Amino acid sequence: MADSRPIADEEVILKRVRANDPHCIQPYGDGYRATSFAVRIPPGQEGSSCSRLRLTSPRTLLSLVTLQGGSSDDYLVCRMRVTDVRALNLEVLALPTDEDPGHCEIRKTVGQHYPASVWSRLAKTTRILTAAEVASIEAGDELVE
Amino acid sequence: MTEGTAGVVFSGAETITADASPSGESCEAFSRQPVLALRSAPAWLDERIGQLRSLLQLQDNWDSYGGRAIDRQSVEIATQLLKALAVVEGVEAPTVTASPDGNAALCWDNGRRSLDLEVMPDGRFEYVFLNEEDASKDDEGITSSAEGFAELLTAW
Repeated sequence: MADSRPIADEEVILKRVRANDPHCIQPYGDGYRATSFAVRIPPGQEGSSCSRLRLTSPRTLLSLVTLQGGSSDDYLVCRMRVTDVRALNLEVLALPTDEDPGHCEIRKTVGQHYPASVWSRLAKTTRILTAAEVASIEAGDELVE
Repeated sequence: MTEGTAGVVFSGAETITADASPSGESCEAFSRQPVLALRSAPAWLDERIGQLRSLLQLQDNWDSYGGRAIDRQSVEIATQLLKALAVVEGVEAPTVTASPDGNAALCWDNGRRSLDLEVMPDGRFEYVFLNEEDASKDDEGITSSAEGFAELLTAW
């Protein structure tokens, strides 16, 4: 069900990340994170598309790529906390679509200047979900930070 | 990092001619930089060059979010840059990736410092360097000189 109410700081959002040919993930800590290039706003678009975990599961997010003719095998899912995104003065707006009720976008605040490093800083807040975490979420468990 | 300081290593894409030969002796560009020690081309170089070449296979929307197909000139310049950096002692293997704007990109992150480098088709490099231990050393910008990258990557 579509939900366009304001997104709470406590929410977690997800983003598909290409994981091979090319790698848009890189080692970080004990796991992997998205590259800064994977989270930045694509050319000609207003925001960086993501999905709300409470409405869109990781597997659903991966399955959506097949609607575009892609293969979900080429992707992993990274998670971000909305509070971390907003700490960088970026906005997170709910923009549900027919295909993805949890669709949202990370956007720049109008009139505010952003250094290029904002995407590098954002990327460092991401974490690639492991297969075990994805399975756990699909089973109804909460994502453990 | 400012353009044109501390001697010329790379002054622009057209001058990126460093030869990453196995002997490690013919990297003329970096050999002018006395603080950088050279080595033979590391084992990871060929794999990373292959990854750069594979970027050319990507078509529009390769990232499923509207990313553009990768520019051939960007890949060529990134390959030359990588060959030159690879023979500098201490430079580790980067993550080879691409930007949604259709450019080749290289990323390094050792957990304390990171360098994100996008290679523009016109030979300029857009970079972001973050130092989590000393934010006063954070730096970003656009430059046509690659000299500072070797220094950053050997001062991890």
